Amino acid sequence: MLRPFPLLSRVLHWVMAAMVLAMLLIGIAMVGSLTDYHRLVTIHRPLGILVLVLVADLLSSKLRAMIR
Amino acid sequence: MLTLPSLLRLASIGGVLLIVAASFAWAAGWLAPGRLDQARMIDTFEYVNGLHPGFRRNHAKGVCFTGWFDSNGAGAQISHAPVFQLGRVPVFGRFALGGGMPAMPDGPQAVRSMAVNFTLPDGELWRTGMNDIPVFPVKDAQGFHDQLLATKPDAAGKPNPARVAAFLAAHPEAARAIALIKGVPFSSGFANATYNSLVTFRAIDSDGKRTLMRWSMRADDAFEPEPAKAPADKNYLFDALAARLARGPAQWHLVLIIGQTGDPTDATLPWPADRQAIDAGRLTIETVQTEAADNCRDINFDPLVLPAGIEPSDDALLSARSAAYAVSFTRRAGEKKTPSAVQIDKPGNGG
Repeated sequence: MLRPFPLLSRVLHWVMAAMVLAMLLIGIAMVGSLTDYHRLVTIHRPLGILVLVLVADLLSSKLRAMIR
Repeated sequence: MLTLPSLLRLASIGGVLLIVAASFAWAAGWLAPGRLDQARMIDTFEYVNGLHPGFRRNHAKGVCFTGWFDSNGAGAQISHAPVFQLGRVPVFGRFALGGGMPAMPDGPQAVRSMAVNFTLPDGELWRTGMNDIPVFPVKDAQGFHDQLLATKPDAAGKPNPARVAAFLAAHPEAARAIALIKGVPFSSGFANATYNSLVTFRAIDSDGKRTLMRWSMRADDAFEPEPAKAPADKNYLFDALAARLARGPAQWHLVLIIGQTGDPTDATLPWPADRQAIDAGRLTIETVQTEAADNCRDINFDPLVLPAGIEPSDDALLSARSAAYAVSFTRRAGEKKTPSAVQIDKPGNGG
């Protein structure tokens, strides 16, 4: 039996899944919308940076766990 | 082994995938294939003007300039943007003719534009594109697209009058705006023209109070009406600008026009003439240069590149311009560059 991931990791995993999917949808909507382009870009940029930060955090915790 | 519970689990995974795929198709606009998006807008520019690789799809013919802006501090009463603090910021920008033909002859009917990039001390940028007309002929992207198609020159080089009439009938706001535009005489050159933001923004002061705002660059050079007949030199406007700057810098006053609650954010509609105007400082343009890799050529004068202290209003043209400019910019960035028709060191070399 595998040891389950801590609750925080699981929550983060699903939140990030939702964020990445949202990025995909906002991105494709943005490049095809004249009326909402600006509004969508102003969500797309910070959300992408947030995903990047979280992925970096995830990777570093993964690496630390492997070294241990 | 496939038991009922495992089938259900598989089905629910498939269901989730299907929902994601359907939302993606909806967000991408694939469920409404005929709609006007930014790629189609730029496709239409290429259809109307022909493809001119490396050039802006609109305002294709232009020159770059450099100079500075001296703020007198008066703008700070409505906006906390650092550009309105007392002091000097460097600027560069571009003078151009409206239209997508990079070798079009200068002429009395072409709309002239001034685009400016202010580089603020805190690293922020403010970019604005202004035209020498009092209002914009259309209020949104659809109107602009309809106008592009309606005014496409036919085989004889003139727009088809029936199509133009149909456009004006379908867009009464454009007919009214064009009447206003025709009522204000054009100036004789770039240096003595006044350029207007046309679209509406909001200024935010240091207390967070928001004010509707439009702006103008008002020329210091005395107004002279343009000649009825264009000189033979195809670049006479640009050549005159270079000659004017060879005699010394040209200056404009940045005038912020303060809107009141209920003033339209529709660019086809003028504001009442008695709106308060704040003279925020003076723009000095010192030199012009042929478009090249190290000046304004590779800059996208996106009207939504705004510093803190200025924000967009709900004017529909703003988001549409930003989106369409991005497509034009991306396309031309990937294309081989051809030299501009305006070569500053070779006056009279027109077209």
